Amino acid sequence: MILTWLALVLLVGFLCWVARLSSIRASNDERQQQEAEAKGLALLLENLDPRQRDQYDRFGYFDVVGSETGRRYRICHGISRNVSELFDDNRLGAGRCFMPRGNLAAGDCMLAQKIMLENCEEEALRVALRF
Amino acid sequence: MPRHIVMDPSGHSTIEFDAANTTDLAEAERRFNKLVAKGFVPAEARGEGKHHVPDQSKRVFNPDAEETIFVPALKGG
Repeated sequence: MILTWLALVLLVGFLCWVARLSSIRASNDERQQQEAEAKGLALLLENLDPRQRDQYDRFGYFDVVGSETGRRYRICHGISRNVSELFDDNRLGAGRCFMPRGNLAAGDCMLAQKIMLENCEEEALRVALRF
Repeated sequence: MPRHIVMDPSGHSTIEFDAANTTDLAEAERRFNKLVAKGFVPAEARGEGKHHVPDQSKRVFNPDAEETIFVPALKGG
């Protein structure tokens, strides 16, 4: 009887320890993700031109001009399905879904999309999927 | 001091190097070549939100670049 109780107490203790460990790990992952998001956003803001920065601050998106076609694109905050062509009257046109490989923060992802459209539009559109 | 900024899941890594130091410069060139071989696109920051990306066939290390951002290869979503 005593042995059964002892085993039960040990089991409960072990389960509590595992739960605590998982909680610490999840909290660390969340903190690292938040730090990555903050770093990515800071890099994006450093690399926007003043007009784009103002647009992003006010609306959460910014516009870029394609290096080869001169078409305009709108990059909204996000990591996927966040790029659309723009018509002359600023209406949104076809979506162009492309992103850098790897699990990047939103700021880095948007900066990558801006750099590619403004400098290697063709390279970006070659891999982009319409939506 | 010149720097390489490599986009990664940590929100990018920044590596500064001394362009006057031959060892540093050689290491920077090795890093550049390794990243380009992996498919990263090197973009030289030109200030005011402008960047310069060399053509695919001309992506070679530029020791005079103050800041180069390495963008991972793209994929369709």
